[in-house]
Amino acid sequence: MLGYYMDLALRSLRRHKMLAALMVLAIALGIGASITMLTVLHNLSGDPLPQRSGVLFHPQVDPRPKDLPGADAEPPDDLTWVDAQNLFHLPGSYPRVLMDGNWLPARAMRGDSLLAMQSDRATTADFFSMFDVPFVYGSGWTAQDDAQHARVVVLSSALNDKLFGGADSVGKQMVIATKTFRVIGVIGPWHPQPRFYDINNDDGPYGKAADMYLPFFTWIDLPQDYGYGSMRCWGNDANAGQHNPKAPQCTWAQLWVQLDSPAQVASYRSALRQYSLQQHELGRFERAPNVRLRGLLDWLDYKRVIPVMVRMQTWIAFGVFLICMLNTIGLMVAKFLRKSGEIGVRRALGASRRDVFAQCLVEAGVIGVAGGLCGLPLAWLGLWMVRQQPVSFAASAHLDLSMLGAALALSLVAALLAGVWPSLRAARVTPALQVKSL
Amino acid sequence: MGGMLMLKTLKRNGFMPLLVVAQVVFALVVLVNTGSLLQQQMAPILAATGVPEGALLLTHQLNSQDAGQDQWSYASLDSAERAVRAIPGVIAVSSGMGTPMSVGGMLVRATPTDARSGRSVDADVFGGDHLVDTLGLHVLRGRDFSDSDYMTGSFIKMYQQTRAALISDTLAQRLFPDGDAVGQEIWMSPKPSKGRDPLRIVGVFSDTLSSQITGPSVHAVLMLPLRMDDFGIVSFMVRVKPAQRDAVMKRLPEVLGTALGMHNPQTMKVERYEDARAARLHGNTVASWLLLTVLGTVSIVVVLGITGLSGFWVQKRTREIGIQRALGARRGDILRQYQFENFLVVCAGAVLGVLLGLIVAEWLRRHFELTSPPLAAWAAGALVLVVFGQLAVLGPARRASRVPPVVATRSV
Repeated sequence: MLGYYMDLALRSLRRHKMLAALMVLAIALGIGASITMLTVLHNLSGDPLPQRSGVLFHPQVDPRPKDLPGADAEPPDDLTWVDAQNLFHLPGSYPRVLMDGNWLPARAMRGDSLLAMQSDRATTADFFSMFDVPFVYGSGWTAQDDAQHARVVVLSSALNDKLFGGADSVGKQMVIATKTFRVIGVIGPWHPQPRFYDINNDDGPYGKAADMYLPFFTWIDLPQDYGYGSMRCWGNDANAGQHNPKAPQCTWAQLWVQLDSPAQVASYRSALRQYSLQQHELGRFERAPNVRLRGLLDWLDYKRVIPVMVRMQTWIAFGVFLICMLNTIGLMVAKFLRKSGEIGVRRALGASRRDVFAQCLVEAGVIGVAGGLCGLPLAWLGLWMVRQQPVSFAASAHLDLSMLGAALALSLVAALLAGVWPSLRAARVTPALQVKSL
Repeated sequence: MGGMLMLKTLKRNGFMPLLVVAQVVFALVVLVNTGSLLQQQMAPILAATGVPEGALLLTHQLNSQDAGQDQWSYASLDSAERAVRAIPGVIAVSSGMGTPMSVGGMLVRATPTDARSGRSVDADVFGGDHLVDTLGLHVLRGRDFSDSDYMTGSFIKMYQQTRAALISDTLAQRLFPDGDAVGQEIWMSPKPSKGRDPLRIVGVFSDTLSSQITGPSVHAVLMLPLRMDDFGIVSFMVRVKPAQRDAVMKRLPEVLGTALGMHNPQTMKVERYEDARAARLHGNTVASWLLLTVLGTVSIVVVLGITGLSGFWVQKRTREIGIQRALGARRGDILRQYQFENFLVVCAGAVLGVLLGLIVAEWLRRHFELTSPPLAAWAAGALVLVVFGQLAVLGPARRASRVPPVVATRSV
């Protein structure tokens, strides 16, 4: 029966080519616009580390003075130098990572290797295991290396290609900020998006991962003055931390901890409060304990990492989709009523209302699938245009299989929904009246 | 009387007009929001550059590390400037920081604040030696920096010790809407810093594009009188005779690189001002096309939709029109009737659309701190849709007016 209806639908569409083309075009435009924006939104709001996001937590404490004008209730995003050290050394066996990032001048030892600024992440030993960083060569460093301020470095594949021609460079030496470092590992492609662990950095939440990874405490002692990542200071001098990361009124270091069970979360939270209370009693913190311990996804939600422009464009795309659907409804009513005569004959020959309804709905479905197929190239074109924007999230705008499926499903469902009302109207056609007027 | 009859017809055949109303509602919300986004994206593209056409060359931020030094001294920057000035065709040259079309790195933003009223505006800071002249701008009021205004030193020292500033015309109007900016005192941040004197505005220069031309304040620029000493990152601006620009562009890396002691002078990137501007605005251009496509799509879909629905409606009411004609209605009456019906329906849609749009805008403002389009934009959008509606109904209405009275006598 379905096959027969399909055949009827195709015949009917062929008969009114112009009307059919208009309907397909309306759906295609709607699908193209909404899939373009949905893909961008889908890529931006994804979970950066799906296997681990449930156990990674971002602690915050509040070291700000009591009467800070314009201060809100939320503690600063990052930590001051003193809190970073203290919290990093808080007793307990759970993995933790302390970090920051900036750009440092680096080159290989060869004479012809030019000094160039490279992005780096100063971090601690657990970084690679906590964040599932894949290694191509070698491995990360140990807690002992952290304690001894070892001069070791892990490179991205891209930088390894540039400096060492992509060879296994473990054991080779290079110069970073005038000091000699030993390469101990090269990591594979690793670009969690959004870059949850450091959202406030210069290049925003969708920035690239760094090219060099060095031990945090080695990095802080380097002869460097290239800014210190997401530096934010309170008080009168906003630039207090520009050359001195140890300034007491400046926050810039990020701490992440891995807590595997609710019990661990609770105990860490109370430890955090305990620490704040202790600092308050010591007189370092002026405020009563004001701590946060957000999970990774809560953190992204709190920071509102999805650009406002993208949200705006998504709403607009849905508006376009809605207008196209309304159009399709109107065109379908016109189309189905135009063939009232044909429907009257079918009804007179014994087809039930339900049969007529089903036949019209199949026709709507065919239009929907055709619209979806035509909409895909439009969505592809739209995404190509999005990628031309030099904003940091643009590069991730690609059509993947799940979005392709979603596009087709969406167009089919939309066309069927749009078809319900016109089909119902068509099924109400009274056979006698139609046959008489033939 | 006629109006009442029309309303009755609309009510009886409620479905078609309802679809048109719904389309107009959503079309209005989409058109106005897209339009206001488009306006934001186009603003920097349409803004005047303020600099002489075809006469400026810019280097990217040069890094003293590429010359094997931690910093460049004032003496070496000065001698480099002199070497460049000796190239035939060069009119003026300046080293500076935060200069036009800077990308990342040494980009300086400040919030100049009127020391008396406390009014503040975000602006880009250009620092350098005789920048007004090199960029080909003019001093509109007050004077250019004098020799005694200039400070020689490192970034922090200069930032703390400069006491004179020039501001662009736009910035002057926004900071001091009621009076002359020259002679006024400003802070560089919303709150005065302890132990620092305010800066005095010595002059107002003609508008030019800021470094962050994609930001909200395209023409808000503040200039500081800096002679850079112990700087690691420096940009050069060169004004040349337009006819000789390409020749100077070819020679500049060699001359400047050699004077600064750079290891690989030929790798230095020199750009024409216009090219740098186009590169910076690439994103805005693409976004504008994207939004224009959306605007075009929605307009076409809405016009076609209204045409299709009206056409169908006319077809359904052919007999009714025939009866009207037979009873004495003229062709013009029928034409006007359909046009007026369309006007009513689109207006209803527009009113509902403005209401819905304002609710949506308020919701967006609460949740995403978005600024909503101004009321004038809604009015303009409604007007555009009424015009679209009239255009769309023209064909069907004419067809309706051509229905002969004899149709009334035929059976359906």
